[in-house]
Amino acid sequence: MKCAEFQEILPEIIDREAAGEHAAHLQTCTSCSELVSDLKAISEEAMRLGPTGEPSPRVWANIQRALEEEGLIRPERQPGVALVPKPRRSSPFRWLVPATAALALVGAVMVYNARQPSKGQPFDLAKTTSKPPEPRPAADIDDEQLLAEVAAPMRAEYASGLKSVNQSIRDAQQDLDQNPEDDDARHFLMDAYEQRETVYELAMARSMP
Amino acid sequence: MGTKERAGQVAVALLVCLTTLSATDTKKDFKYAVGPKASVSIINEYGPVSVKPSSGNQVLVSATLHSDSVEVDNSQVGNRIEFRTHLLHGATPQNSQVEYEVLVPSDASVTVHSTTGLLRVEQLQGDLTVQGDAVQVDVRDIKDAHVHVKTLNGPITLTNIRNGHVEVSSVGGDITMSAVSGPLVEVSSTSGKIRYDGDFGIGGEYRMQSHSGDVEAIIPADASVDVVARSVRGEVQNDFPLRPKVHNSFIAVPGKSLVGVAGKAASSVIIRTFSGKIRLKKR
Repeated sequence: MKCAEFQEILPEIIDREAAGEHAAHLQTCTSCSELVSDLKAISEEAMRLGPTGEPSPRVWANIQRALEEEGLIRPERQPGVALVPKPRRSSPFRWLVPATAALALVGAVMVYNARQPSKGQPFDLAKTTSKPPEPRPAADIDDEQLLAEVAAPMRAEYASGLKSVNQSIRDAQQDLDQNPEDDDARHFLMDAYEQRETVYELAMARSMP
Repeated sequence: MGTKERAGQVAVALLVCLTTLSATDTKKDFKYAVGPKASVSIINEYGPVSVKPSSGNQVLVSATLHSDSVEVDNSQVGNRIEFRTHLLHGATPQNSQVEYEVLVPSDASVTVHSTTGLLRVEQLQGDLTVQGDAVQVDVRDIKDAHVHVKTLNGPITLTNIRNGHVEVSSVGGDITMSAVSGPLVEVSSTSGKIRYDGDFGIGGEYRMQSHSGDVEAIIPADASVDVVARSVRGEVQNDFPLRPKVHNSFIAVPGKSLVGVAGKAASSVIIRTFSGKIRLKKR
């Protein structure tokens, strides 16, 4: 079995043990074995995160390492931007943490799968990491997937709605960053996320049978 | 060409058009008997839905289909009735329009969905859910009910909603409320404008928020309200006579926020916008 074939069923392997030829490939291929190990560790940590738990530094480290390996982020961080956060006080937005971690994981796996070579082509890890693509937030990927699900006549309407909502999230987040003690700033951010949820809810309601 | 001849030609042309239209339209009528507090769902793809009260314990549905690219699936399970528009091969937003006219017992709970068109519900006392994409929503003369509206875009108008539990959310649609009161009225939008014209009832919670849209409240002089309003990047204008609040943890910044009470301060009114403008006006 080739790496490319194995990686087509990668999302399924994360949730259960590999069997048959997939298990055999894992035993012989260090690259795929390490990849599965990393993704499983991230997945397990994400699932363990309760609504009140702060993520351990290991979670962020694993996410960071996985994203770096995939070329989604650069190893050298820009000044002031730290993916691994410092310990901090309890925040009313702790619920966002597991959601963000899960989003990052899903985004990483989806981008990883999307970049896989087609069947029959050899998988060249060096080639995939030699030209790191521009980093894309997982939320953007979610939006693209959502828009793909929306009926074509309404796609522009949803794209416009998402653009507007995402801008409001950025505005509110920026305001909260500047005024962390401001209750209104928190309300604006929460409402912005709720509006985003509304867009998704409406879209999914339309795409359901 | 004489006037009579021209009029005759126009009449013939109109007749041809009407004949063509009626040839493609199909009207289907349905009738169900239901018990008290029935549940009725109308899930349309494209086109308007109108819901009004029926005279007895009956649900009457009239569906007008504009082509054979669309079907109407309907079912009754006990006290629950569902109508769902079903698109067939070749359906487009234009040819798959279905117009629903629905009569339900006034105590029925009603759910209405559509992607486009006017969604109008009136004179009911049961819970109401209205959802749509680019729709126009008109809800009026509702009392003692939950009213939940969610849309992506299009104007939303609520008129004469009494003792309601009202929750409205629209990403881009303007929201206009007239004589809307209840224990809870919560309205939010990302970019739509919000306009409230009413007395805020007695003892309710009113929260209105738009990220970038303006919010305007027109209040009678005898209203009994406890008002907090704030615009982060916009401005707050007020010509309604408010008294200063005795105990207040919120520090108002002139032009950006205000706090005050009127009457016995029975209802709580919170108005927020991030970059829009807030106006309080005396009626």
